[in-house]
Order: sequence, then C-alpha cells, then structure tokens
Amino acid sequence: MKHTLTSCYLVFLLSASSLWIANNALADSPEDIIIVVNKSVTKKEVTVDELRDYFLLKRLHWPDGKKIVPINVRGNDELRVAFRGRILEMSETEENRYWQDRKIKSGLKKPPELGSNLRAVFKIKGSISYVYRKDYKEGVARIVLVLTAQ
Amino acid sequence: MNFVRKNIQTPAITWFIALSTLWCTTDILAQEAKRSTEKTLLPTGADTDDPATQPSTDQTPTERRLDELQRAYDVKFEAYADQFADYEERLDELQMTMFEMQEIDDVETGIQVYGFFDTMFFKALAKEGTLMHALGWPASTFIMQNLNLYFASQMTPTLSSIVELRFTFRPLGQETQFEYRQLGLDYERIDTEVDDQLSNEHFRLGGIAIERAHLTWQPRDYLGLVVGYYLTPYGIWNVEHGSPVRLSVRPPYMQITRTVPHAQLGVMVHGRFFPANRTYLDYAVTISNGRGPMDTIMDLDENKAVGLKLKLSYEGREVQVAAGGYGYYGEYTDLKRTIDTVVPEFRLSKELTEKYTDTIASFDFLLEAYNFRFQAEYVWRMARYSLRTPRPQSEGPGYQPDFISYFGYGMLGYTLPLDEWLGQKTLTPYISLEYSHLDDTVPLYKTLIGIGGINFKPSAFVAIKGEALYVYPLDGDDFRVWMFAVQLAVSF
Repeated sequence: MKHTLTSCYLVFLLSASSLWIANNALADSPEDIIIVVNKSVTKKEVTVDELRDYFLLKRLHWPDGKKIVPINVRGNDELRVAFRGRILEMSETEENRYWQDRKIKSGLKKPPELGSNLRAVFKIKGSISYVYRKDYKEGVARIVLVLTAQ
Repeated sequence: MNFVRKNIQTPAITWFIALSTLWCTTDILAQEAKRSTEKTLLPTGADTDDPATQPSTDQTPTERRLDELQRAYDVKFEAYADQFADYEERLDELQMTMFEMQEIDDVETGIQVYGFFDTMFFKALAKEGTLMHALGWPASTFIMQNLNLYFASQMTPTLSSIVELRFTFRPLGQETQFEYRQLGLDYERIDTEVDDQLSNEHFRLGGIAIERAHLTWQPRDYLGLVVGYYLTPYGIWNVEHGSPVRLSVRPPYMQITRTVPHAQLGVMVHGRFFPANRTYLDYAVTISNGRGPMDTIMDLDENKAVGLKLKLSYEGREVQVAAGGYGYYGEYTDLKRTIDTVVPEFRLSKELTEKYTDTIASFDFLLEAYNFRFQAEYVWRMARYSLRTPRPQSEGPGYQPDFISYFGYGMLGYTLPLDEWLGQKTLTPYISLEYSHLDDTVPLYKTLIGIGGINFKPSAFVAIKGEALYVYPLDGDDFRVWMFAVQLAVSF
C-alpha cells in the first residue's frame, strides 16, 4: 500500500514537472518576433509565406486593396538578421543583390528602414513590421503573427 | 491619437502621481523624524552636524535608534528617488514616442536616381579572308556599351513612374557606307567631334536612347496599368535587362536582333494572381504602335499591335521554377511622301513602301535549384508580306519573301559552394548553347553559338565576367569567329 502511494506520488510529481516544463517551453518569450500591422489592416493573420511576399514586394496590396507598406528595422541588428534569415531566407548580401536586381529590372525599391518601426506601424496605414515581444507596446499595433524564439 | 494617449499616458501619470505622493510622504516623514531627533537632542545642546552626533559607543539607546531610523529613511529615500527618475525618464520617452508618431505621416520619398554601367575588354579572332574578318573588329579594344540612368518615383501608393535613359558614345564611329570604287562610293563614318566656341577645346558628342519611360497605376495586385514606353514583358533576358543582373556578357542573338520588339509605346494591362503559397501567375496584355520604322514617334497604320504574356512561377526554399510565354501580333508599315504637283496647287501623296504582318511566339523557362541555374528561351517569328521590299538574292535582284525566324538557347550556370573561402561573394561558371536562324530564306543566317564563361560577384553592386564565345555558321565559313570578353558591370 505504502509502495503504491509512493509510486502514485512519484508519477504525479513527474507529470506535474513535465507539464511545468512544457508550459514554460510554450510560454511567451521576450525574444519572440512579433509581426505587427497598422490597425487599418483588416487581415486578421498572415502566414510566413505571405510575409515573405510582402517584404520582397511580390505582393503589393492587402485583400481590401490597401497598399502594403512593409517596414524594415534600420541597420543590421539581431532582429533584422533573424527576420531576414527566417522569413526572407537570405543573407544580407543576398538581400542587397535582390534589391539591386529588382531596381534594374522593374524600378522597385526596397522597403523603408526605420529605427522606430513600431511607431511607424502605429502611424502609417497599411504598414507591417516586426519587433521583439519585449519591445512590443500593447495598443500601438495589432499582432498578426508570432515567430517563436529559436 | 486620443486612444493612444489614454492607453500610454494614463499609467504613466498614475505612476507619476503615486510616486509624487510617496515622495512627499517620505519627505514629510523624514523631516518629521529629523525634527523629532532634533527635538530629542536639543536639551543636550548638541548640533546635528557635530561629530559628537555621529554613532558612537557613548550614544544613548534612543540616539542609536534615531540614527538607525534616519539611515533607513535615507536608503529608502534614495531608492524612491532613483525609481522616480526612472519613471520620469520613461514618461519622457513615452511623450517623445507620441510626438514622433505624430511626425511620421508617410514613408514615400521623392525621386530616386540610380543606374548601372559596364566596361569590357574585347578581342575577336576571325579567319583571314572571311567576311567576318573584314567586317568585324580589327583589334582588341575596350568598350563601354551601357551607361543607364534611372529616375524612379512613387508619387502615391498606387502611382509610380520610371524613366530609364541609356547614354552612349554613339553615333561616333558609325559606318554609314563602305567604299565601293566601281560605283564611286566613298567610305563614310560618323564623326561627332565638335569644338568649344570659346576655347576651341575639342570634344565628342554622344547620344541618349530612351530605354523606357512610363507611368504605372497599380490599384490591385491583379490589375495594373502601364502607359508610355515600356519594356516588352517577354522572356528572361529582356526582363533582366541590365548587365549587372545578367549572368553572361553577350545577350542571345534573339535579343540582339530584337526579334521581339524590346520595348513598345502604348499601354499595358498587367497583374498577378496567387494560386497557391509561393506560386505566382502573372499576366500582361500589351497594346502598342508595334514595330515600325519610327514606332516611337508615330504609328504609320491603324492596326495596333497586341500581345499577351502568361507566366507561372513557384519559389520554394530550395527550388525556384518559372515558365512563361508571350505572343505578339502586329503590322509593320512603311511609307514615303511624294510631292505630286506644286503649281497650280500643292499636292502631296503618300505611298506605302513596305507592309507585313508580324506574328511572334516566345517561351521561356527558368529553374534554380541547389546552386544550379538553368534558363532557356525560344522565339519564333513569322513575317508575311503584303508589300515587299527589294532584296538582293543569290540569283539576282528580287524581293523579300515571307520568312520565319527561329531562335533558341539554353544556359546552365552553377554557383560554386565556396562560402567558406569567399563569404558572400559568388563565383558562377556557365555554359550556353544557342541556335539562331534569322531568316529561313537565307541559309547563311543559320548559326550555332557556344559560350563558356565565369561570373564573379564580389559584392551586390559589382559583377566581373570573363567569356569565350564561338560562332559556328552551319552554312559557310564567312561568319565563323571566336570572341573573348572580360566585362565589369557596376550598379549604383
């Protein structure tokens, strides 16, 4: 009887620990990349492939016809590098080449780069950008996709 | 804005009030404690600044207690003061954020100026005595083929325009006539040298070609309108357009001969659909003056040329594939004007000198996978004459018959996996095989062209290419030639 109780207690402890670990693993991380849009954007969520289309200017309009304004983080910091690698699947040089080629082929220029991209998303209609969860301010923009920290 | 002010500022103000209250309370309490200490110590006649008031072994328990309280308050006060400063900073930041938000109202910028140019070192080797040896290049030479400047502007979210100008040293050196003693013709070549009217300094004039100039209205992805002089949306080379983008030095013969008009003056309706993830279906309908002796100035007939482009592409993580086609139908018309009479009244008539229908079909295919790039294009063109022009035939004088042109090439490139040594620089060897038959009524025009080369991109803005090319005419030796070229292409 005593053994059974001990076993049950151990199983319970193990399950609780597993649940705790799993819960923590799924918990929001401040390093998650949050994809945010201006509140004028009616699309509720976007996929990774759509995001790639937006930031490579392969898709120029939201479903309601509003112009998509992708906004990149200025410079080459950790967030920009992570986004470029995960979404655009490119290195910095590859991205530069892509935009040089696009300029010559079709005159398309690369999306604007702003240091205060969250502020820009708040202000500019149709805009979309990305921030770390820790830098996200509630109410400023709407979240459409979360890329969990890797 | 009110919404944000409410959401961002209210907590900050609340904190500000709370902290101010706390600070005041702390201050009052501290002062009260100080007064209390003073009150307690006054009967002893001691000064608070006096070293005698410092904690010492001869302090009474009450004095020690008061000292402890004072130190505790000081520590707390400092902590709250730090916190207060921190919140003040955050409040400033939030206010600045809101201010900057008000400042940003658009990301569109004004006109963008950029471009590309290339310089090449070139040498051709043709067999002595052949037509190519006499007609071709007498010596190795440096050449600057392209200096293209772009002026692009996004005026509104849906309206944009682009102008691309090609600057050239031409027409300097353009040979307009060979000497032909039997007919008494002299050799003629254009010389553009002029001198400055003041200093007499000599300089050469060049030329400017308009590559494209159009307005684009793009209200939806699936619908856009281009008006002006636009590049014909066919194939791979014509779209890639610039030497820094293209893999090899020499364009395919179909591009050189402009079998499909490389640009057209008119309107184009175009758009894109998204049938699946990473899959794009592009279309374009072109209506233009079509091909003509002066089609960029005016059309000489009422028949506008029409074209349709369809292209399906998929861009996976490792594999990208695209297949497209463009069909074109137009009418070529040339004419001359003749003065019939001057007196008693001035009479002028126009006379057609050449007329044919131009039917073109082109196909292109691009596959990029695991560092490989394979591209192929095929163009078929048929010209049917209703009014023929004279043409020297092998059997004597005659007229241009209806003809068909065929062009096709396949190019394979492989970007070497040298990231470890080259970093982001790329080194891509390539080979290409091309077949061309400019006019099926002239056997001499049937040609095979083999190309081998290497493309090195040390940065996103520079491409250095080295290439060997062999032209092998399938009938006769007159156009057999080896060509070697090293090209530097720069975008800026």
